[in-house]
Amino acid sequence: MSQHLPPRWVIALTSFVYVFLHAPLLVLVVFSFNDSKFSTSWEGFTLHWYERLFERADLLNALKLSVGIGVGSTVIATALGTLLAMGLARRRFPGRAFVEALLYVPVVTPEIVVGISLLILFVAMGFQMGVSTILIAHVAFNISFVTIVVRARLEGMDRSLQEAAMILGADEWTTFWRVTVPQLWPGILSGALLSFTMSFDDFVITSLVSGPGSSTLPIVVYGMVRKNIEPTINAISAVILVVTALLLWFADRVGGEEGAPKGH
Amino acid sequence: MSTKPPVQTLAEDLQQGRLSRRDFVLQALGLGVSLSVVGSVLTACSGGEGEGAGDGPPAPGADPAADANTLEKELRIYIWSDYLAEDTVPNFEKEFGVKATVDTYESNEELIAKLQSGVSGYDLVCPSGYAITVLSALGLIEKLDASRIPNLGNIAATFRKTSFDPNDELTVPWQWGTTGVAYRKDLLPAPPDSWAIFHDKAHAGKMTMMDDMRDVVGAWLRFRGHSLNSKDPAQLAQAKADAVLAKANLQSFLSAPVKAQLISGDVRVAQLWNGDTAQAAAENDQIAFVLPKEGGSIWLDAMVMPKTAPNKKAAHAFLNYVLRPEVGAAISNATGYGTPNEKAAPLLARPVPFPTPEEMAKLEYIQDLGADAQAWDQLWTEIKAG
Repeated sequence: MSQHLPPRWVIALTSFVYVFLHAPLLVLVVFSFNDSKFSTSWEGFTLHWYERLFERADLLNALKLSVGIGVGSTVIATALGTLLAMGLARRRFPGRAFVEALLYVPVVTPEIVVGISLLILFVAMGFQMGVSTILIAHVAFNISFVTIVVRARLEGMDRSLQEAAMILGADEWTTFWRVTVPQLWPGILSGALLSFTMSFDDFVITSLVSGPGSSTLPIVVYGMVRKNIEPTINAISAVILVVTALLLWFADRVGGEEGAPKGH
Repeated sequence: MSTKPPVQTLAEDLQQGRLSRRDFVLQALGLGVSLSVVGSVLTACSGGEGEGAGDGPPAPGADPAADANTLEKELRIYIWSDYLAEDTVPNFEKEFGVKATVDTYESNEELIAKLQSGVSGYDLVCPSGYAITVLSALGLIEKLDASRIPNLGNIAATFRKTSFDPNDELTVPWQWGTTGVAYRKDLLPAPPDSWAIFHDKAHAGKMTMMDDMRDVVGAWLRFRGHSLNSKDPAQLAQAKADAVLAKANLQSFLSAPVKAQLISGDVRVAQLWNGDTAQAAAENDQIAFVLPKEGGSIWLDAMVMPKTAPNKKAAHAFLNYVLRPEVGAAISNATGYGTPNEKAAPLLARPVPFPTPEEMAKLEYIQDLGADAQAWDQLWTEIKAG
């Protein structure tokens, strides 16, 4: 092992990247325990900001709404995106290459452009901005991400298992649920996680299509910037960090187990 | 508080006949304004007085409380973050049986953009004075029905007949404050009394001015005895020179977040709002506020009702409710700013006295710059880059 230790500069560069990525998060978590409303210097340990979380109904409601929209848009986008990916992989139809190319348009288009175009569309259709418009917008940009991820998984997938199932008498429906979906599962899961993350922290598009009663967490936090970012924000961020890390760890385990049969 | 949106400039050009309707439509669309907005501006400019008759005024002498049964079941408020006391809305909901939602925004520009989309759905919004000028020029806000707001009388005369609501028909003043100098008593030999403190090299690197064009340029205009809404090129050039001179001594341009550095002592002198200074002083009693002798700006945020408000009766009921002395005082206790409600002012935990007539003479409201906004923008860019 030791004789294959990478050169020193590689270690230095790697450490630098890790510090660069994680130091701000560490500072954020540390200051969630700081006993001062404004100060950026350490004033002593407190759990006060975590208690405040339960008093700030606006933050809690925003968090609930963000999770709700995140889950809702993820479920819809994952279902639609997976079906689209399978259709594109299996069926040959005129204009297929064009449809595939279109998939990348929302991914490479700047968020502000997507947001404005959705806003103009909603206004033209006379929609009342609110939770529903945010949900539609999030589904719209998430479908592409899910499709691209699931598509990649489909590329590397062995079709002989599906054919075997059909030969052995399973109908399309059974084959789909019992063979295809389990094989695709890691792709679907990463697509879903990606779209939940995109939805949960989206600000630009969300703020453009938001309306009464639809302030998600990023919008509420942004509104607080002008005057003062109370350390309650640090506390809620720390909680989100821990929950996300746990979810990722869980997803990794589930994805790993389900994906395992592929190797056999 | 920076520039006004280009659409506003266009709308003014249109009203004053500098621009044909066709050119207006094309240019506005070029700015990315949606068709419905263009349509609404054109309607507003055509002089059609289509006053939303909507719900007529209540019978004369009707008790506003008895009206509660006929209120809409919903109310949607769009307001600055942390601008309500924690119990303001829950108590209103309980008493009036109206479900209220509160959303927040970060700048007047964000609010104006939301209302311009034409379908905001909000019943009450809370812009700063100059933004009210813009909104009413765009025809986006509606006159209030004073007969439904008997508590309007609680507002101090100082905050009535303002430049952005000269006839007292559009606004219910919400919070006010002034921009002056916050300083550390223990770190300065004597309290500052002039904007000249920012030219004093003795405190170089220990001072900040706000990250705001109107406040910084405005302060240096006042320093030379001019209006902080000046459009005179020579006066502006002098203000720029003074600002650049001060900049050499500044640690940075920083607004509300400077409170942390004042508390720690990294910054001794900061241009700041009185309310934010009071919040910082609650953590460190060595922090004090002074209004420079040359004067400064006073701001007033006020509630207005968009023309498109779906729940107008509930909106009026809420406005009357927040004008109750104890409700108004609770709001100002939460924000740290002053209340324009003269019956609420004596109830504040940390009193914010109304400006005296002498102080009022030194204070000026920031006004919309109109077509000169670009010249100011240019100046501010040069100051920050120079």
